[in-house]
Amino acid sequence: MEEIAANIQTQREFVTCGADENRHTAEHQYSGAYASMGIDNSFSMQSFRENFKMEITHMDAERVVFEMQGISPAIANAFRRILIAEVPTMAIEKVYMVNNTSVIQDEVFAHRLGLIPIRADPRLFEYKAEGETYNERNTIVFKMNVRCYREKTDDGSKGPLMNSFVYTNELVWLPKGSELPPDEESKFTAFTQSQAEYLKERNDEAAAAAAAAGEEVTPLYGDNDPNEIATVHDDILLCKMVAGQEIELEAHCVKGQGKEHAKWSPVGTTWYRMVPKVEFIDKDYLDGEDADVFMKECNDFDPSHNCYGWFEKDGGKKGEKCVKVVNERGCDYCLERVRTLCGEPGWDEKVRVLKSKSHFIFTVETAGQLPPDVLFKEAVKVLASKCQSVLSTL
Amino acid sequence: MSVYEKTFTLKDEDHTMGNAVRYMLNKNPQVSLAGYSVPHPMEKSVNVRVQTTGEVTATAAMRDALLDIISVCDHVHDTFDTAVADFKAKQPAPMDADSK
Repeated sequence: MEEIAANIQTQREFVTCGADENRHTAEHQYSGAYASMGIDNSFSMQSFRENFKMEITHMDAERVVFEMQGISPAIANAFRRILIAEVPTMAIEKVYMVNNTSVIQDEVFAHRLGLIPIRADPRLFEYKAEGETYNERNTIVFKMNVRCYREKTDDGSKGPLMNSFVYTNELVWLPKGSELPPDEESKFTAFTQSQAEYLKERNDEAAAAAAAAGEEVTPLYGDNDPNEIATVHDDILLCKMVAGQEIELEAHCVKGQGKEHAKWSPVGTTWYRMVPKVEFIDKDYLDGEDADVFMKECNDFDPSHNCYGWFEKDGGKKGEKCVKVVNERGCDYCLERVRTLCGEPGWDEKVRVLKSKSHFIFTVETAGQLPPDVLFKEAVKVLASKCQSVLSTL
Repeated sequence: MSVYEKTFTLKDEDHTMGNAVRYMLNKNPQVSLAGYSVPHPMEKSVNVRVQTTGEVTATAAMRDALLDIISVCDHVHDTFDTAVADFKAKQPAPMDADSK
């Protein structure tokens, strides 16, 4: 009976990675699922608070890696899905071509422009409602006017070709809005103030609120002025031209979400993986011939690999050795070897690879519009606000 | 049809909310059945089915589940903030931190 209980407990907490299939992959959510074992499977905020842990293992400007423990995949996956599809950003939505004599077609070039990450804090902007005018609160305007030509030389020889490679630094932010002639009034922008002033006001408000709350604020964009807008990267190749070709256009960005178009997705991608665990079954070591086979198959493929090691056997004869797991999580190189070994006759009773159903290694890779840690917090807020909006309709 | 069993249609939502809400509903001992479905992959809505044991109404169970998710989010948010602060505290300070 005790053994059954232990097995069920393992099945509840872990996925077992067998040689040809993963077993016990389901998470039994029903509150009474383990009632016969005396385990309460219901949710309580108190036990959640006690068990939930987070630790950041890596963080830089582009990527944050953290471990999250004591949470269901249902919630962890909601965070992941929201990060990809429902955290808003600003992206180029409308491109007005004034002139394009390059070989790249208008629509193809417009699509390329749409995918460029824009360094602007989307939280300072509003969604543009249908029929609303384009103003400094919902639209960012860039212009681009680039012509490829050959530099003149004094002696009449061929000079260097200028602007033959067009990069994102050709996109110039227009804080005062569209500069196109207002021949079609409804089409272009109607800014009531400079966007730089608007951003400054909003950023100052936020800073004052944070100061009042006693929070420490780290600058969002490092050394870049938060009141100025530009592309995240200034060296993305947009197109190539030959002498005489030119492109003149205006690009208008609006706020949107990844579920409408991937250009609004704030992450390159984001994922989580379940924390693996290599375990010797019944006892915490292997000895005799098994130990030799195991080490040959799973550890000694590289001299520097030491997820498993030889130890003096407790209570054994003098000099008798056994193999123990040194690194419980294994590594990319040995996990698959152990899993394969499990498929050999007899081995499935000696060793197994498990994956935790409540302990995740989460990675967020930003596309650059917001720092990765801010993105994760935004995703958490989005889930809460979605629940709030459903609540308000009940 | 009674107050103890209901199907809620969440407009403009998908598996993100459907699965999260179902999870929280199932974790409530007063709920005897909870499930969700997306009627059509191109339709932006989910149907969430709730049947309770009769101790609470389906709407109340739904409300509890949503409030629980909100509490979880708040706690995750705060824990993440703490984790970030801990991580930053452990990092060696950059050389020119005070030069500006």
